[in-house]
Amino acid sequence: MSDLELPKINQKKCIACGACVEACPNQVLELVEEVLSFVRPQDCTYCALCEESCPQGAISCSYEIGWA
Amino acid sequence: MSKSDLHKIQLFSRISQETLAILETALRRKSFSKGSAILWEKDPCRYIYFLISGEVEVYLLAPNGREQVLERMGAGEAFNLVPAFKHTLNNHANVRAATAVELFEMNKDDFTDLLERLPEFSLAVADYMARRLVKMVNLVEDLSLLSVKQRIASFLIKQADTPSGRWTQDEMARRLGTVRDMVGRVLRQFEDEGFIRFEHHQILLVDRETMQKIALGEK
Repeated sequence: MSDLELPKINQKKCIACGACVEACPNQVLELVEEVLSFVRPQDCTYCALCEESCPQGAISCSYEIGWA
Repeated sequence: MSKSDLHKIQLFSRISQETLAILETALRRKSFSKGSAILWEKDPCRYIYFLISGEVEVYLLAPNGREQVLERMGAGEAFNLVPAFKHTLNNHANVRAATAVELFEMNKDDFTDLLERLPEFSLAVADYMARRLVKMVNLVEDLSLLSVKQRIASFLIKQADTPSGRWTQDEMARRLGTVRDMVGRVLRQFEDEGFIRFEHHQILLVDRETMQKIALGEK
C-alpha cells in the first residue's frame, strides 16, 4: 500500500460511464449501484489513468512538484 | 483585529505602525470556502482584497468557455487593485477561492481616500503593483513566445523552486493556456525520457540543467 492518497472523484460530474473502471490497471475502481467507488484503494498507484480516461473531467489527481 | 495578520500582508510589511493603525480601521475580515467566487469580471469594483491565508485563482473566461488562469495567489498577496484606479470601475478578472480563504477587504472609496491621505501607503501600493506588472509581462512572454512543452518545463522549474500548493493536470493546463490532454502527454513524455519521475502524488524533477534547456527551447 503506497499511502492513503487517492484521486478525487467529483460525483456531481460523474456519469457512471465506467471508462475509468476499464482504464484502471489494478481494478481499484468499480461502479457500485451506479456510484463510482474505490473498492481496492490499497492497490491505487496514483497512475492517473482514471483521470485521463474520464470524459467528464470528474476525476483529478493533484501533485506536489519538487526536485528529486 | 490581530496585528500578526496585518503583518502577513506584503503590502503592509514596511508600513509604519501609525499608518497601519489608520489602514486597520478600513479593513474588514472575511472568509470564503474552497471553490466559491470572490469576484466576477465586469462587475463594478467595490473592494480591494488582501489575502491572510489560503490561495485564490485569478482567471479569465473566453467566449467558448475556456479558462485562462492568470495567477494563483497565496497568503500575503493583494488583488483587485487595478480597477480601483480606473474610471470604469469594473473588475478586470474573475477570482475564486482555490482553498479555504481568509482575507481583508477594503472598500474601494476608502482605498482611494487613503491613497490620497497616506503617501507611505501610496508608495507601498505603487511598489507592489510594479512587481505584479513584471509577473504579468513574464506571463505574456511565456504565452506568446514559448511552446507548450517549454511552458510546462518552465512551470515545473518554478514550482519546484518555490512551491505553491498542489496542482492537477487540469489546473496546470488552465494556468499555461492549454488543455489537460496536452499537459498529460508532455508529462508522460518527460517521464519516458527520464527528465521527471512520478512518485505517487509527487512530480520530481530529476535534472535542473535538462529542464532548463527544455524551457529555453534548446532541447
